[in-house]
Amino acid sequence: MLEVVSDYFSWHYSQSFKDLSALISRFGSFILKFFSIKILIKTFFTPWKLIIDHSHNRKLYEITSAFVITNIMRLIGVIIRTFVIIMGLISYLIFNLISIFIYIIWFLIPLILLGIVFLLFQKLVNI
Amino acid sequence: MINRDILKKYGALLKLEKHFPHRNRRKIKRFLSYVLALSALSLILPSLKLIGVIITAALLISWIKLALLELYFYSKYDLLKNEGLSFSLLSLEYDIQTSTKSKLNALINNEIGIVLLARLGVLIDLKILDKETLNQTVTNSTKYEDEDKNVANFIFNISLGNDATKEIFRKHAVSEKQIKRSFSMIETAFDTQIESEKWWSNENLSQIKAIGDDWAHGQTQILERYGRFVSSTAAISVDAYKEEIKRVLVVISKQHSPHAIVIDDSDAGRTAVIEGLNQKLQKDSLDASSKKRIFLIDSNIISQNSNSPQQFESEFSKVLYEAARIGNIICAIDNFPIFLDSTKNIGVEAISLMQDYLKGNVLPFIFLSDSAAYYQKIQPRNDIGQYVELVQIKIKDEEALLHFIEQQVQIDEAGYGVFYTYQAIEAVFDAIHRYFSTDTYKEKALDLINEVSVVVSQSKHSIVLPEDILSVIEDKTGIPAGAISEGEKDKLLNLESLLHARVIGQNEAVVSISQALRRSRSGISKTDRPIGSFLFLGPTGVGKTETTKALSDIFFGETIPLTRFDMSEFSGEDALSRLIGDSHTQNQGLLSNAVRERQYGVLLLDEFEKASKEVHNLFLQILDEGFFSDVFGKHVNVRNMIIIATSNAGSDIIMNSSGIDLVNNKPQIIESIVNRGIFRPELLNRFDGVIFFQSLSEDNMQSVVNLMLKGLGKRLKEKGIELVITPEMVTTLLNRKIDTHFGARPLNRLIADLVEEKVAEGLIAGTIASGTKITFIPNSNNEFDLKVLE
Repeated sequence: MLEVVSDYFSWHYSQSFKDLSALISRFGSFILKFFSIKILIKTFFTPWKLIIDHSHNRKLYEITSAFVITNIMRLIGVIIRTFVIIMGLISYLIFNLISIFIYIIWFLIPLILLGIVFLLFQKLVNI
Repeated sequence: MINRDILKKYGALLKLEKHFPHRNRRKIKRFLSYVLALSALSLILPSLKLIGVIITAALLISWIKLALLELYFYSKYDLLKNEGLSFSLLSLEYDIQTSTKSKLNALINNEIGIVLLARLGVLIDLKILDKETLNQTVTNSTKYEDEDKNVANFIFNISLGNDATKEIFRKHAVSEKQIKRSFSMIETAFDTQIESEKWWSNENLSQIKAIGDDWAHGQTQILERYGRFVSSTAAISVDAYKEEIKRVLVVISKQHSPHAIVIDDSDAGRTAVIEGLNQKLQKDSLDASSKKRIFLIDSNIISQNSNSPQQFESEFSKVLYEAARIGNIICAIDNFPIFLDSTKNIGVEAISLMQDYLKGNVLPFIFLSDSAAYYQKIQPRNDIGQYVELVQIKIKDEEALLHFIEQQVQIDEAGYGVFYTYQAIEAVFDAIHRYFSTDTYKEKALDLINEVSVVVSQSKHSIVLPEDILSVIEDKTGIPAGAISEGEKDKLLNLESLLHARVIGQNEAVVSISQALRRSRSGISKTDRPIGSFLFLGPTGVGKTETTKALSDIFFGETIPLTRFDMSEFSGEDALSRLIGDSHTQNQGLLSNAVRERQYGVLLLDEFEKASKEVHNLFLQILDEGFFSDVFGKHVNVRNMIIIATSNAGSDIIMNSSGIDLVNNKPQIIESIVNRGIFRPELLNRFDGVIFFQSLSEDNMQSVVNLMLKGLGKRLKEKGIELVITPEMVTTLLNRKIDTHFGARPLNRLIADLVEEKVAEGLIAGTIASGTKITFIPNSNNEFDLKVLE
């Protein structure tokens, strides 16, 4: 199994970093896509629910009330979209910060594992 | 043998897979996850704290190690795949190459090898071979090094060098194609498994629905009420419908009239196209805001919520208006012809409400329909046809059909716990072509596979063999397809003598028909043509129709009557529309209906020469391809029928041919028929055989009289009356002058007049009753006197 272990290490410190970068950038795009940041910005002022009036010869108060309701819906849309966009951007930011740690941990993980094994061994000896 | 470069690059991965395969790693990792959770709980107890920490840490390390190993595996697996290499094949080869056992033994004990050999149907036979045979050196492995990329060569080289295994492979008729496709099924299953495990892959992440997708253009109340947006994750496999999905996408992307009507007879097919299209729209769209969504209108809900035609009009108009207003919607309506009919019933012409949208491109429509309803109700309507493009689900893509069958088989294998050999998969493929109408291949394949899986899962064995497929076919269609029974075997082998018991003379006809039937039932005849097709030429009354009837009774049984058409009735201009249906009057075709009703048996076309040219052209296709389309576009399968056309054409030559060898003069007689313009040569060539019926000789006539009298005797016996036939009776009947132009036919009339009439009189007068024995004595008028013997 020595062949596997040595190939693993050579992979861990070469190819795996390429894979990790691709994975991190994929997740970054996924977060932006999941929160639909682009689409929500583009349709920021679209009413939340479309109240389409199908009647003809509308009276003034009907037109006014439709106008008011549409704008209330627009406002609701803006609030919900703002909330989701902010959540999305925060998530994206947090993910980018975490990804720095991921790189570090990934680099160190073989050492960390060895360290834990060593500590465990020491503990067992002490017992 | 795996080359050095690959071994250098992936040797460690292959070694890992050999000694600690992915499947086992996953199992252990999952187990560790549970144990880890339990040990973490133990940390709560103060008394177990120290030991708990140690165990948890140890488990955690093991879990992380396994997880890292898995990541290493996935990464290498992707690299290997990107290089166009097959992981399954390499790991199989590596295992065999590094095994201490013989190659054959290693193959039988390898995980992939086991599945492959089982799929080829040879595993059970190989497993019972003794150790010595299994360890025998494979002698012809020299080519193997050069052809390691071809799995079929690899397997053949291992298996065919040994006489015992060679025999097993021969017995199961294992072909190169079977090995390649079986292996490809294993590869695909493994690939799919790996891809589904990688939740972080692009493919899997894109399946997760984004929060704001539906918010892009605002929600509307009316749309929510009267339909649903098609789901972006398809519930059924859409791979088999790639071509159709592409076609619909092209149609709905047009600037002018972007409306399509999708025709398929199966609900599954139509749904697959819509779901597949939706997936493609979601995937291909680069900009989320331009993403089109398919909205499936539920016409039933609109009808249910409408109390009056006016209300329906108003609600339906609102749905269309809102869908158009939102801007990224494609409107789909299932069972469109039924929808139009039901709206018509409540007094609304729905199409006029849609007219404005059909003329423009703001709101693309996809209508769904089955073919019969489409051809009956939509095709004749120009107000729809001019805006809508037809997309018919293809039927001829054999590769797609085989792939579809393979996929469905694997789904059923997981669901029912059965296992299909590749020979059984091929049997499904062949059966679909042979036994079912050709426009519903995929649906029929799905039905058949499901039915076979249920039947086999309820039986004692779980391996599906070709025989299981054929026996289900036999149950479903009534067409003998399974193993040939003893009785049937006797019938087939003695068909000539059985036919001769009813047909006098006409040896050529009897032999040709018998041979065609044996070929068909043994499964070696072409499956894309009728069982047999013959043109019987000869004067009237020489046994053409009788031969056909005898064949039908003997082979197909008296329960399956002959389907008979007098083709002299189909000589006019309306002949074709009477046979295959009329789109104007909506009348169904006589031929299409008759064949649909009884798709197994004999189709007799009397006086074929009198049918119109168009009808002859129709039969050109039928004889060649074994199916035809009725006027409504539905395919009618005649591949399980024997088609016999009879004709008097050239009978003058045949009648004057006493003493001429008809068989040797056949070309000249056929040429004269062609020259007279009765049949075109291409039509004659389509028949499996053009058979001449000779005029009956005196000896033949005597046999015919005997046969007819025996027939009468049999009918009387049913009434308890015994008829004694004497040589004098036969001679008297033959001595009566009859017109030989009509062959044996006048004899029927003669027997009716001279014999049957007397029996009838006797029965009415009471001189004959059940239990009476009678005979007929010739009198001086060359007629008969009835004599009661007992």
